[in-house]
Amino acid sequence: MTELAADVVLQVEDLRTHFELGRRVAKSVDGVSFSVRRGETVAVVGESGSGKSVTSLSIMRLLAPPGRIIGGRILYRRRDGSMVDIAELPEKAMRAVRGREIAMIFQEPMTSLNPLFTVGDQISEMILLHEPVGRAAARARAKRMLELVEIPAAERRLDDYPHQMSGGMRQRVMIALALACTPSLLIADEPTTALDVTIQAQILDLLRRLQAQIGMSILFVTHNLGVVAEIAHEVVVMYAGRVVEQAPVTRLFERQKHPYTRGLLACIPDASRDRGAAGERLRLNPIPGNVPNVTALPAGCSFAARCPYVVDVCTKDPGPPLVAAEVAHLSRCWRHEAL
Amino acid sequence: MAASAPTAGNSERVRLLGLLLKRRTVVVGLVVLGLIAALAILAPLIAPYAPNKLSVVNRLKPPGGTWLFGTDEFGRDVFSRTIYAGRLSLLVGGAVVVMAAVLGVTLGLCAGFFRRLDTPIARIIDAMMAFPDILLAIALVAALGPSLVTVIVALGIVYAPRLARIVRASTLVIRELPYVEAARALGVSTPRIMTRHVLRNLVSPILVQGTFIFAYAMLAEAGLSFLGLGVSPEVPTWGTMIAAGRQYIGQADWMTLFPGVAIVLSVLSLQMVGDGLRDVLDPRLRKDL
Repeated sequence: MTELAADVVLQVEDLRTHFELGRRVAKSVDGVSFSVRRGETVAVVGESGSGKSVTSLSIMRLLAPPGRIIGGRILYRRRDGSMVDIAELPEKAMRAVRGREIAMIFQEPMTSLNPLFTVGDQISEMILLHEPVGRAAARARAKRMLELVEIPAAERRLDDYPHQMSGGMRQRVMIALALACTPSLLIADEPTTALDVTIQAQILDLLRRLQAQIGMSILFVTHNLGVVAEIAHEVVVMYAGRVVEQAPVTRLFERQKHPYTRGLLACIPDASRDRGAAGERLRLNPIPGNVPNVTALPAGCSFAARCPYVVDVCTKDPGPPLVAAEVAHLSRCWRHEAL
Repeated sequence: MAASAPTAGNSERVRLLGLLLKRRTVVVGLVVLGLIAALAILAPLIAPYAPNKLSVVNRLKPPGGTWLFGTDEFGRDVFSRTIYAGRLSLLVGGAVVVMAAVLGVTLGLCAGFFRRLDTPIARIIDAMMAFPDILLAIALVAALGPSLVTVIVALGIVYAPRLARIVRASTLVIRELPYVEAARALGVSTPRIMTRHVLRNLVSPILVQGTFIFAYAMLAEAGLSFLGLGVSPEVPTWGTMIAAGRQYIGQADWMTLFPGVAIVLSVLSLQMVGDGLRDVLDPRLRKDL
């Protein structure tokens, strides 16, 4: 376990997380690999059911049964420099990693805080849990955290209950809570999805600034490519439990080497593009069909049924491998050269 | 800084107490409950007669004059008996609630939280609830031998499934809420999640059910005593007084009325305090914030 490059914080190798449902097996994550470098933001993008959330839950080891990591490694560099494989870590050791080294924020800021305790209490609880400090010191730190996430009148807000705050404020509190022990990696599972657009921009901006300040890495899970363009350095596109394309963000937006990514980008409504010559409104461009059922994946490429570029070889086993289409640009498509 | 640490917890408690006492219903409830408890505790000093002093000449005298609450079929003073009976009735009610709460909450939380334990615990709860309450209590008392402690233990076991069922159902809901997952993601241990994040959110259904059990227990104790399985018959309880007065309800309704009122008042006042407590413990229900 010494093969991690010096600046890599997290390296997922051939991760397989399956859900055994009686005789059927849902291969929600099936051979996913990527790595996150220090101070970098990696976005994992995909539709519902692509396995992006299961990937992040696997890294946190928060899978509910029958979900189970059945293969692969999740190498993580701890703060003291030692390397651990999260997939094999005992639960007790994992608990010390959660929150202290890897923190997570969720999609639902409205319900991600316990309604019965003040936000100050909840942030303090987190600090007291992981660090040998007194109550008063924890409270002082909680106040600094609220200031850090730019909540005005932090001192007074410490004694507020979650229901007294707006969604955007609560997400800020969640971020303060997650960062209270200065983790090296923050996993953000669609943290802006439930917020309205202006607040989304504020939260993304905040995350970017905090990242620069604290130097943490972010694994950002989303289906929103607009958000990806805002925050990510590296993009991993997932489809039906696999990585289908991976590239640095600017390159990916310039040139897509997988038809799925191309389709995802075409789905974004664009006011200038969606008008015809006479200024009439054109239709939106959805990708037809749905993500295939991960308990019964088709032979060959799992995107073939929805792909506009499909040819005969696409439906034949085995499916396309993930190859370097260009330097630092991976694609899982037989026709990546034609794209 | 560290020196002020313990006061942070205390001041929170003082603040909650302040909020609690701002509610008129809570104050009224506490006063009534306190009064009943004081009467019961100080019974030997207050009671004008010994609870078992017979006076055959003065059988079934109506309330008023010498006998504040009248007399029963043996000429015993109903007022003296009522306040003496409060000692045991309140004790039985309170102890059964505590016993049922400890058992029921533990079982319910475990069943709701650990998937493996859910089926066995839920089936045991169902099986226990299939028995009529009093029958199960009789069986338990018969097995353990009649005494005050056995009655409390037996009734505690009988009423625990009611609480366990409610706690289990609510735990199943709360367990899936995002803040429980968020707590887990931040490294909080399972026992701590169970107590701080789940149990604290269950306070109101537990309190409501607890006040019901308090009343049921006092009546069930009467049933057991009536059958000779409770405490010895010469010690009065509100339940035994009502049971005995039933025969004379046409001629001497005061025999059942006053112990009945005592039960109603204590349950009602307890419920008022419980309601207030629930409101104060749930910040969303606090109107004065």
